[in-house]
Amino acid sequence: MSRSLLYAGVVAYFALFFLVPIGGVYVEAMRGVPAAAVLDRARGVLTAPRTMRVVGFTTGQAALSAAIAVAAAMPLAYMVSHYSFPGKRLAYSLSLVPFVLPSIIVVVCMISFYGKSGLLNSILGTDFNLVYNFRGIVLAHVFYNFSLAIRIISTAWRSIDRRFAEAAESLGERPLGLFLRVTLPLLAPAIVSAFVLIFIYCFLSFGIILVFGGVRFSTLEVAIYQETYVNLDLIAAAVYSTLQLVLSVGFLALASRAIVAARVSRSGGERGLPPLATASTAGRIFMTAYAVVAIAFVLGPVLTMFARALTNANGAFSLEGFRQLLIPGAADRNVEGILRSSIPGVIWRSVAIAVSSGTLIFLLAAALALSLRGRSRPGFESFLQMPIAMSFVTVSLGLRFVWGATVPPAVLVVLGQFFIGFPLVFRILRTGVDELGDGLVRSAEILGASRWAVLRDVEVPLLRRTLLNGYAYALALPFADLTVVLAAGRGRIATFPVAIYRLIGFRSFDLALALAVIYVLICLGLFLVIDATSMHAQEPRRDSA
Amino acid sequence: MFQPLPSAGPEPFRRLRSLLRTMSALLAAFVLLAALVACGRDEAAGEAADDPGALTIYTYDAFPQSLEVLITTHFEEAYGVTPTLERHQDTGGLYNQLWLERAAPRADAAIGLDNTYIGRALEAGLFQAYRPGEADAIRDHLVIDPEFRLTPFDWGHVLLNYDSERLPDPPTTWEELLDPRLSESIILMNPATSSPGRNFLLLTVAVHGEDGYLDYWRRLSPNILTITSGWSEGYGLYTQGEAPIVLSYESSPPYHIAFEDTDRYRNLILEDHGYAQIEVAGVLSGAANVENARRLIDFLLSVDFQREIPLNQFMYPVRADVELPEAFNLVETAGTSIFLPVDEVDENFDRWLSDWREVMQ
Repeated sequence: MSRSLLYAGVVAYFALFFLVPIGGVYVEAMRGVPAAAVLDRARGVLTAPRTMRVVGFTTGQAALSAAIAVAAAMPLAYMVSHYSFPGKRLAYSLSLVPFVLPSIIVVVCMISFYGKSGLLNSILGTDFNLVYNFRGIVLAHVFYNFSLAIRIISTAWRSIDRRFAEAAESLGERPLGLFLRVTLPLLAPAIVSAFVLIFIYCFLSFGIILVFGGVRFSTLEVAIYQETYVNLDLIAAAVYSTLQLVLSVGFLALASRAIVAARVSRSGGERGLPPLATASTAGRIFMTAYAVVAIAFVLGPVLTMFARALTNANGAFSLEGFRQLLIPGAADRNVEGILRSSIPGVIWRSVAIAVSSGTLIFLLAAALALSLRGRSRPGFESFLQMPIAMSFVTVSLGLRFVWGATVPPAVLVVLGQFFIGFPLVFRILRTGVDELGDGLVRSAEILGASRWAVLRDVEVPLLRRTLLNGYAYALALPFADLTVVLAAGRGRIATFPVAIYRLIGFRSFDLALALAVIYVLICLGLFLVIDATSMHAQEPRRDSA
Repeated sequence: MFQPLPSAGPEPFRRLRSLLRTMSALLAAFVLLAALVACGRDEAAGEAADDPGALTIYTYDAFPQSLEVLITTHFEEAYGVTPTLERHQDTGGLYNQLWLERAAPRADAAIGLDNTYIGRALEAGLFQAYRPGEADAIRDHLVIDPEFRLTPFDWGHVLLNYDSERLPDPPTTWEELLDPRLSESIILMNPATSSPGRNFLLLTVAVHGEDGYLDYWRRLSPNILTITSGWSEGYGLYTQGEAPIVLSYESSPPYHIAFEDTDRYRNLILEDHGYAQIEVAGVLSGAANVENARRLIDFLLSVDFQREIPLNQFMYPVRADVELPEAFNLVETAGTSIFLPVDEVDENFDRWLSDWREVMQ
């Protein structure tokens, strides 16, 4: 009963704040245009050689980026899920930072590190053009999504019952065979899940593509933006949107099948991890070296951005940017006027909006993941995944058009941001929840544990890591959002990405970088708190089923 | 290899689930409350005076707050009216909002459409004619709509900038820009997604002719480092030192002089050419408060408003009788303002763009 109520509520929410706004824009666009003309235009767009080229490129770069991100994440996922080592908590939290960076800041990070006059080139004394081409796109996508792969795969890896491995070993299985025949099949759902999510994110990539892709490379999302905001051809935009939706939901549905086929129910639970020092020497050296390179890959660009923020135009150390930003009246520019908010206002509002959106996303995703546990509802799940595939350019325009006059801007932003985070968080939680066995819950109930005892001592601890991981992403995605705030906020709401965007619009890159540093530190603080909670249960716990 | 566990018996995670459902319901209420508080704070000032009978103005996000204050103060003091200013993303977002609401506009006036959108806005009949009292003070070449459905209020030149520290000896002709010494040295913007990019493409069409511009771009392309989607990204790369030449505005160097006290960034003027980017304002067809909307257009053209434009908006005033601040007089400017007629551009742009794209692929 309450399950159908939940489903109905979610469907109603999607209908009101997702389907109606999108429909509203396109219906308005086609009003008064004869159906034959609409069909003609649609056919024209679909058969244009450029459309095929765009679809081919979009798919190809997304598959390559996702494959590299997942493959590169495997050794680290192993390390994180099997060993404890100093600095692990910090590194784990830091790895999420690229994910919350507005794309303009990602560009600045990538450029400071990999650019023609970037750190890497100046260390090597070279002048390589590393980023302004296809390589740059893939590099930036891997940088963006690396941590997502590590988090999803390591969470699953950690919950694999070691007795499977022990049993295989006692039957004489060698390490490689053990990995290929036991571990890999058990990890398959998580690997597929990570691959698909990263694939979809790269498939929908927007900011990265046009900075590094020049004119040659264009994704469907870019085409939608061009048609909507520049060519003002909403019919063409509708065709591209539909194409993007059909392809993405198609990929997701295929992946769901693969995940269901590979799913193995197993008992998991937290257990203490041995320190890295207990690994074999070769393993230890390999893992340490690998981690150092990976950290340089992900953190190098972020740290170079920090360094840029701390230097002035002459290359000397300077806190001038921070001083002008934080001390009222210190700047010759009217900083509050440019931001149209004070800095504490930006911080307060960013946190309030991200926490509101994030909590809404998390609770609904968790409730649905638990309700759907062990059930297969492919149609409903595809429906729930739809927002990930929809162009937020269109969604924001529709939200403002349909609800702008009646719903206050801040509420509309939260309602709209829900769709940015929900598909990813739902998928993380659904994968995590479905992989856990239910033996412990049953045992506790049979033993007569009270209602709250079961909840407190069994259910939440079993799912703790999955839940907190989901919550971290539920907060991170709204935090980084620029599109919905700008469109649905009607210029009245300044969050971090908006403030950075406004500073850059005023040519104040120095202040924008300083603000980006403050933003990264605040995000990092939040992730540290969340990850600390999730890793708290380090004490050995008895495995049982 | 492994069988799924049988799922008989009591359902697991039941309590967590029911707890989450209850929390979801509570949260819906909390979110509404939190969001209301968040926007209540933001709008505390504006909301109280939000009288729908006054004046509603649409613009883009980057419209300077200082100019908004100027407008608000003027209306409060002169007419006892507090205007509401709503910002809709960028220029494209502004146009879309106006167009979607065209049957029943909520706004009375719009500020900030530019060349890219003027032709379509006029064709869609979004604006009604109003010739402001001081229309004659506007520089002649900027009057793009003789019927004054759209009135120019600021303008600027789109042209290349260069970093004099990295390029002490800049090119001065279109031909010199093709010099192999400038290989991978220019950052441009995509004409399909950015206003400066579009205007620069038009400049090459105007200078090299419809028959010659593609050939020019073909020869230019080895010197282009990258073509970004928007001005922000491209200009960001430039200030990060990625390339010594960037497509920007004639008024970008004065920014660095006025606020960063450096004149290393300069205008790169090729044969005295600059492409005029004109920003316009207008009274919407079907506006509820036509009187106040007209007063707004008048105010935008007043000397009081015009002289604030350079240092706030980094564009030029449209009146010839307003003096520029010192920082603007320190830089070189293009003497020849090029501007293709709006209808000619609208008729041909799609073709020029797709031909250009084929060349640059």
